[in-house]
Amino acid sequence: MLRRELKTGRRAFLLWTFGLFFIVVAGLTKFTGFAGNTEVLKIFDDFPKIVLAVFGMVGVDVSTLPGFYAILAFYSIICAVIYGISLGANAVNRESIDKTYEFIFTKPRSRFYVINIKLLGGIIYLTAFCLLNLLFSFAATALQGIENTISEQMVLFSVAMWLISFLFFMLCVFLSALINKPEKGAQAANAVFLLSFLIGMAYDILENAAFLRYFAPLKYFSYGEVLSGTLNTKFIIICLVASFIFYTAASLIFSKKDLLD
Amino acid sequence: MNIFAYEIKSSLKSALIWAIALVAVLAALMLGAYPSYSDAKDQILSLLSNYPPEFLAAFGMKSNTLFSYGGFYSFAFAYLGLMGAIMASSVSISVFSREKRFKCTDFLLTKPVSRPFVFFAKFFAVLLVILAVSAVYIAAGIIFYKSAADDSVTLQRYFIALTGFFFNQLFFVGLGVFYATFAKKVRSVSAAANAIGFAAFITSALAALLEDAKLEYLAPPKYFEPLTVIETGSFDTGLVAAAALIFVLCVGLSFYRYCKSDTVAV
Repeated sequence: MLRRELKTGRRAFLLWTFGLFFIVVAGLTKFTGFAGNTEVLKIFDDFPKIVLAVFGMVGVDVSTLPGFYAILAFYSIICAVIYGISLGANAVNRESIDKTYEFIFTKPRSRFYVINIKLLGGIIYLTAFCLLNLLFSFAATALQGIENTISEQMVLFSVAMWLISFLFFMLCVFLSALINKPEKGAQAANAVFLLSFLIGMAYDILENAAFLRYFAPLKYFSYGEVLSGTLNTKFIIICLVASFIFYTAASLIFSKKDLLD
Repeated sequence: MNIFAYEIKSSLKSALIWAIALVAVLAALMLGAYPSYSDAKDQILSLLSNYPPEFLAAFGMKSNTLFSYGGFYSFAFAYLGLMGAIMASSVSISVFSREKRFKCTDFLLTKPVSRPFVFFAKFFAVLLVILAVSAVYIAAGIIFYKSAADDSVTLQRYFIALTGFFFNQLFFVGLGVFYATFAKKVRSVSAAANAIGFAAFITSALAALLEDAKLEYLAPPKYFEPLTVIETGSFDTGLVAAAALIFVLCVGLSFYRYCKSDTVAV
């Protein structure tokens, strides 16, 4: 059954991988390594956040490889989150939408087992996606002949990518299980993501808005922190705990859910 | 007329929510955030005055434009254009894939109307929804302009920049219609719309980051970049031509496909 799940997701996976490839490889090959002038950049520390946000310089210097890569990583993470949401929605709702659920649930397996296999399929794809992100990053820097000084940070960005997209994956699984109409669950999860993206923007432009960060998973692991070689432990825990809660709730609801439309 | 009215009715609620959300974000940025941004201007300029002008040029900072009302709108448009793109794609995908999703294409086609008629009824329904939401957006933009703008950009230019929002949405209607008619299966409207919108957002952000003019042709929100209007008074002709061409192609191919394709009876 797991094999079947993986087979149905293959085409979507390839398409998403292609998008990721475009961001990482096209992005990195374009990087020519402008001469970074760190001394000049110090004056930006005095700028208000809103000005930096408008200029597109939130805590990094895009003229250096680490800063440039951090920006690319941000876009790859958006990509991973949207992919994660669609994986989550498919895991729970594909059979209902395709009207094949009557068939699968007559099999001698518990609902719990079925949903877990489906989630496992999703997780495998999501993890593979994050690993490919890492692979592309290494390959592109090697091809470009750029001296890769940030391999450790690249790993951290991929871990951050996994944590954030996994959180949204589980959120979508939870919402899809909770809401009875198949399309509404995915819609809710996508709306939550768009909202959290906009909150992230607000967090970037407001001076005293540290609390907003809790509502903007995209900002859980800031460029600065990752580049200095750490992931914020508090937010790792939030991601994992929240994912676990969503998972447990979704399993419970799904086992008892009325599947008729 | 029934189809037209039906599609309008089913898009009404989401269109209303989108209109409110768009105006709210526009207000938050142009009324809420802009004043503190323009207050920061003097502080920054005094900081920068210690540096030679070549420095500013090296960072691509045309401080006059960037610190103006129009420059800030250009920043805001990155987000508002994204929201508009997602909305336009979701409305058009939803309308054009409705029968596919509910597996009732054969039902619709038993009605005594031709396929071109169905296509255009749906198309004009989407158009009307987009037009209404854009009109609200543009009106709000002008009201906010009256209350907060500096004199760096004339109302006329700013108005043209605001209409870019409508054209941007129109472009995404083309993409959405194309996707909905050509996809074999549409499982989730919101997932597709989000993917299209964010893909466009990411490519336009990449185009800006890499300072690659060719990449802008792949980045739809750049087609109607407000900054170009604010600086020159009109949109970039090449980009607009590209947008129009892609739009006509998308809609034309979709029309052909919609009228000719085999229908699966369920």
